[in-house]
Amino acid sequence: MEKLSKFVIRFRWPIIILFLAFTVIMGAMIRNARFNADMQTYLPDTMDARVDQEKIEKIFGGTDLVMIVLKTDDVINKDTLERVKLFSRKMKKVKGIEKVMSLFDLKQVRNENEAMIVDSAVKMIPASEEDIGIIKKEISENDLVFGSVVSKNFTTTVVIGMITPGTHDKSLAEALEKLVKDIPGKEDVMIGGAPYIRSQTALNMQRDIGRLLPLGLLFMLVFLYVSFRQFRGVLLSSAVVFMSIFVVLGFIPLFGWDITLVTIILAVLLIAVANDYGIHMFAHFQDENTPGNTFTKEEISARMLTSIGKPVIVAGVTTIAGLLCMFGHILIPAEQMGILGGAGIAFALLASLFFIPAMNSILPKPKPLQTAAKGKEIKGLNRILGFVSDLAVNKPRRVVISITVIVLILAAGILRLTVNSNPVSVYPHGHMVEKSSLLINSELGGFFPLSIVFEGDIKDPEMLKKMDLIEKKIREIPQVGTTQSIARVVRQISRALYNTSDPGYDSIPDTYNAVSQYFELYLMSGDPEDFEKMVDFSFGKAMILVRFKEMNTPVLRKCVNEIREIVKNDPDIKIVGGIVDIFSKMDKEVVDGQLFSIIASIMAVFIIIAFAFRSVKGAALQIIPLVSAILILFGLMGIAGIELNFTTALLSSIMIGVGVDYTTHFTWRYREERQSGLSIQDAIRMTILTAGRGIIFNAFSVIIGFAALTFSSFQPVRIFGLLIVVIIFACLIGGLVLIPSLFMLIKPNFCEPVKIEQNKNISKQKNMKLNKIIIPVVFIMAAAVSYLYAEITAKEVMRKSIETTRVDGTESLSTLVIMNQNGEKRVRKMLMVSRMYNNGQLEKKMVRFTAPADVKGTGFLSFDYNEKSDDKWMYMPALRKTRRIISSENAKSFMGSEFSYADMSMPTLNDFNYKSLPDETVNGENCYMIEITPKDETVGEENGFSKKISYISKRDFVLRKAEYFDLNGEKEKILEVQSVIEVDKTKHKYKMKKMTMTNVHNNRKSVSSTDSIKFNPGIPDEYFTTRYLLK
Amino acid sequence: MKNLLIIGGSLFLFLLGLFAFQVRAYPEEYEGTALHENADENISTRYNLGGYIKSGIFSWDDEFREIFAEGSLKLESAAGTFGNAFAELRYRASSSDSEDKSDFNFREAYAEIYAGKLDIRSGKQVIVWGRADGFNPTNNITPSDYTVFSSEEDDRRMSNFVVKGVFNADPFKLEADWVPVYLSSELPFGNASMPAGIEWANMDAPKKKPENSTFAVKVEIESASFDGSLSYYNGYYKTPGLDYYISQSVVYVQTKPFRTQVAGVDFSTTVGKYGLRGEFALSIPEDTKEDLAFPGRQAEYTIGIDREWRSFSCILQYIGKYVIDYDRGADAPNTLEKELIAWNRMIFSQQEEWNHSASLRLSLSLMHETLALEVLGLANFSTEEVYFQPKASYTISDAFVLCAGAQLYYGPDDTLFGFMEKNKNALFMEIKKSF
Repeated sequence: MEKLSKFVIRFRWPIIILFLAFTVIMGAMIRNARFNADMQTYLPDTMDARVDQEKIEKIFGGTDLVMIVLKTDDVINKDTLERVKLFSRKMKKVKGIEKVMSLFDLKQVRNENEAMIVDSAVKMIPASEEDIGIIKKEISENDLVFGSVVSKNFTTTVVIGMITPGTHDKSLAEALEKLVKDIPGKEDVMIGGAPYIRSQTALNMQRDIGRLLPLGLLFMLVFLYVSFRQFRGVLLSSAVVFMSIFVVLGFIPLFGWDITLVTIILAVLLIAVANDYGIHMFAHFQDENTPGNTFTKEEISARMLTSIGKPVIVAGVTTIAGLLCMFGHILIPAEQMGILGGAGIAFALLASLFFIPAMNSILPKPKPLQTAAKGKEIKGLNRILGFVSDLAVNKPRRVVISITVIVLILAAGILRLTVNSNPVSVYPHGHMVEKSSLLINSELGGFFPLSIVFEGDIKDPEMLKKMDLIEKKIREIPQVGTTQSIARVVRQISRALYNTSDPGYDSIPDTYNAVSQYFELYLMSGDPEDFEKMVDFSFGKAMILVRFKEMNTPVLRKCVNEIREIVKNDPDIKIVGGIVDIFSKMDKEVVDGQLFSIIASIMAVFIIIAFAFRSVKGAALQIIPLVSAILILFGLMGIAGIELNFTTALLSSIMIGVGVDYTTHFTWRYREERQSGLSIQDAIRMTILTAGRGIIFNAFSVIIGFAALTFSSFQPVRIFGLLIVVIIFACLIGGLVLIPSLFMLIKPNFCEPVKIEQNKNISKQKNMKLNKIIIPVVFIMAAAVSYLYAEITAKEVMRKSIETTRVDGTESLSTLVIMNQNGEKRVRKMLMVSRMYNNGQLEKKMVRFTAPADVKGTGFLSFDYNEKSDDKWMYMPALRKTRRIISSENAKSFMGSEFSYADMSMPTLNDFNYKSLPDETVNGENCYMIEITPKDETVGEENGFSKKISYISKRDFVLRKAEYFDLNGEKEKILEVQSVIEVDKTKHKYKMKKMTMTNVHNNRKSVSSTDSIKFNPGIPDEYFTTRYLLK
Repeated sequence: MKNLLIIGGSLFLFLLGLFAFQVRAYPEEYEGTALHENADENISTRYNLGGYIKSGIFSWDDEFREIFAEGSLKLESAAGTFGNAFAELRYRASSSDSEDKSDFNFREAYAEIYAGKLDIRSGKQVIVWGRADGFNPTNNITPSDYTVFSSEEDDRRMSNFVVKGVFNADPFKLEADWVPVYLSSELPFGNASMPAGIEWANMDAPKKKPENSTFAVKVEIESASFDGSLSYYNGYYKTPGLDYYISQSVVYVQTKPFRTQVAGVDFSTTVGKYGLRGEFALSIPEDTKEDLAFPGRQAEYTIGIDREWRSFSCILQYIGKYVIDYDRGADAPNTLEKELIAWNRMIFSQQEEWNHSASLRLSLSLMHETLALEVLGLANFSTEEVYFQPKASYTISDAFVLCAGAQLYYGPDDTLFGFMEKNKNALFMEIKKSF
């Protein structure tokens, strides 16, 4: 430690600058962070349930639903039905809605004059009471809507939108909210469905971050000042917290991760825990900075490390180990939080060991704390600590027995602990999300879908009968709200064709031909799209879609198991899956993750303590308070009816890491006191009275930090805040009361004076090797879902658009004008040559900047391949040599402009999905409008957009306009092409001569204009060599 | 006299090039096309005039290390079919606690001939070899100035008269360099005070004879996925050692250059989103075991990875050295020799048999590439030397840059960085306008 303290004081300036620079750099990364509220993505995409869900979506499209629910005394009236009709019509125009189901869209199959008629479930707006009566009668006989689209008591109806997979939740939710606002009426209207819940969750997450962070920080600052009564203590400890938060939040986008519900806890965790080490250091500094001391500011700063560095390191490492044990947790955000939390605490520990003494050594030495203030504080605290030490020294047996009894009583609550990942339960009672979800579940058959997929000849009557039978059995499960299937439609047709007394009424026909005729009859007046969510186009696959009126995952899991039992061993059933399956499996995964992290954390902490104290027995003793706290935690959760879900699941690992600190600090100091010759009783008293102060400050800073969580918008996060407060208090009691009492009773050998000497020598040698710390960096690249059904025509337009600008060879001189929001300009001039090779598979390009003077001479050489990563070299006059550069960062700005490197090169056609939108006219040019979405997240990140809408001229296939949406789905940039030039008049190849990119977020603008351009397919090969870059 | 010769020769070649190579770099059919910055043939297209004016303050504790103003004028003929020419004239006036200086020199002046696949460049020029970032054991042809205060690494590179020929046989290149006259690096302790009875003497420079010239060859490959080279250097090493002689009871210490052979390899490639680069050099100084100014044989190796995340980039390198003749000079007969051997080990970083260092360069571009933040750190774990350079550059407007930062050396007293810590540590601010 002495060597380290000398190092820190000697290199204080570089240390301070390094920490600050690293913080600034990491902090700048935060702006790239994204929010993700989709709980499905919290599970690995290799998980069976997620794979099944994707397969279902590939066959039948999305099964996810959004709903606009209307509730009034009786929905079958003129005004309400007109409103429903309007909602239905406008919802169809909302982007991302694949299909709308309402009373006016779903069908009624009936018999009229001996002919089968298929028309809307509600054909007219009622003008009289008689009409209302007719409509109600028809609805109550219509299986396809009764009890699912309109409630059986006619008080509630719903307009359902089926979602295109991959639709952005936020924009969808905003569009629905706008619809509700634009179509007013007297009915109560609520929005529901999983995508809406997700969007609300994301919104609340952002609000939480904005609210909890400042609140937590405020709590922390007040607490620090109250504790230290010196601004120095507040400044140094809080600086470490701020720096840790910046660094960790910066890691999130750097690792390619998203901010999730769990990340909120991470920020608060850092507020609560990151200052712990600084608190101990500064408390020690205050202890030594007594009136009349002769230490220089450098000496007293160095003593912060030499005196207390070791226990701080042990405490920090155990916390890091506890958090890192979440690595391997099945829930992705939990795993990420473990890594990020570990990294944050590691940074805080390093900052406390290096940055705090370095800063302290450059600041003037403060006056010793006023005796009166110190005395007052010490008096109150000492009284408590004196009481605690008396208790431990005089009545150890009684203390241990009492605590054991309390722990066992509370632990009995574990038997009542339940696991539940209900996504609505994160909202407090009375929240709109909860209200709409309960209404949909109770009146309209629920919204949580499960699909049972059949494969075979669906028109085969045996197959349909089997499907019908299974569907009937499923409907008998009490939690099933409603079902839909093609077999049910067939039965509905039979009801229209036969009288109730006929044998064919309400049944599946016996022959193949009859089934086919049923469908033909239906299609004579119905629409083939009516079947698209039930059977595929070739009638080779069909699906029973089950909706549940239950959201508690243990119940749902039981239901899914029952359904699996019903369809067991049926060779025609290929998939039982869907969102319900995913959520119900989350439970099991949570428990697995929990068990893993508890065992791993305890083992890790055990090993570290055993190593630090060179004693297995010592480690076992110190684990006792932890195990007790875990038992109390789960017992209390069981008693209070708090469910174990993905948020509360994180408790144990955090608690193990944080809670062990108090025991470690106590034991370390106790061992030192014993070594100095004090008796066991005196050593315990002395330890409690001296180290106890830092330990209590530490515990209360954690409690106060986490207390901010009780102000969260999310129920589990609030509960988490409350529980952690209780548990940290339990750990504090464990460290200051239970452990001293145990030491009194057991008199552990590892703390005895003789052994300490030996241990110290050994530890001194071993510690020499611990000087180099390597922080591993883990990169996890997210794999994304790709669509199968790209629009061929849209892709063809894009292919032609790329082809038409793929010129065999050009030379050009261009000007790039970059304007900021105030209109101030920066001008770059460049010279470019390009040439196609290998039948257009490779484009070689050389760009050289000619102005302004500070970039003049800078050159780029790139080989853009169609099918693999590009090769790029750069020449900068200051480097005096060409340098190979990495080519993956296409999304970054091109020379500080609004254009990205991706905009300056040919896109790889197969990296994106294309969809045709209605044609548009741009500056008088009739254009195809194509929606371009990256096939996976990686492509999106590499190109810097989640969606792009391109307007491509129908005349020459050259881009005229493009709108870019950032990775959060917000419109970010607009590209407008002002002029186009035909470069190769033989092959009709074009280039954009002038184009403007406007950033709508910050109003910056960049204009790229080609001052001169010449078609030249014969540009010599040697122009595309590094030799020419140098010339 | 030597400098005059170099400057005069370079100037002559430059002027020759300036007037001789007025033919365009591109074939006639491209005349008046975009490859030219301006289709109109006039003086401004035949010659480019540029340069900069720069001013800076380097300060530490209570003293100014240096305050300077610098002007540069660059004249370049447009690249023609057969060659081009370039010259940069610099004027620098500086003031420090110890002295005021002004200096006027040709930073570079050379002419270049393009003869088909062969490029020949002759004149005063800077040559940089090596594909590692900043720490290049194969980069030995032109010397370095360790005394200069500047935020730009290029300013530490010195030029010398070199005849350089490159034969381009894509994807291969063969380069041969000939340095007729030796020019030493500027060492940071050139005027360090000496104990009583010891004085500095002039460098024991090699005579200007053909046999004392330096030559180097390099074979390079630059393919689509891999760049690399093999190189060989034979000549006087750019950094001289320290030697002494006694005359009339006075001990004179002088710098003394030595011949060496360096065989080198370097490469750079990309692996996914990572850049991978490395460099290796084996140095074999002339075998004069009795000469204490000469360092021992050594192997140097650098391996690094780099990665970009949008506007943030990171280059991490391991830099190692193994001194083959580590026990050389262990039996020095007297204290002075022992002292000089220690100094020479310090100069050549041969204080440890095995040297392990790491460098890290983090850079971040912000505010639409107008603010560049960079931190360069080098830590030698074997000798406990550390170099640290944080830097922030803000582009106020086109070609107008404000730069602030620090250059910080730390090390034990008997190391080079320990020496530089006392003399070169500085916080700096520079402002530069290019034109």
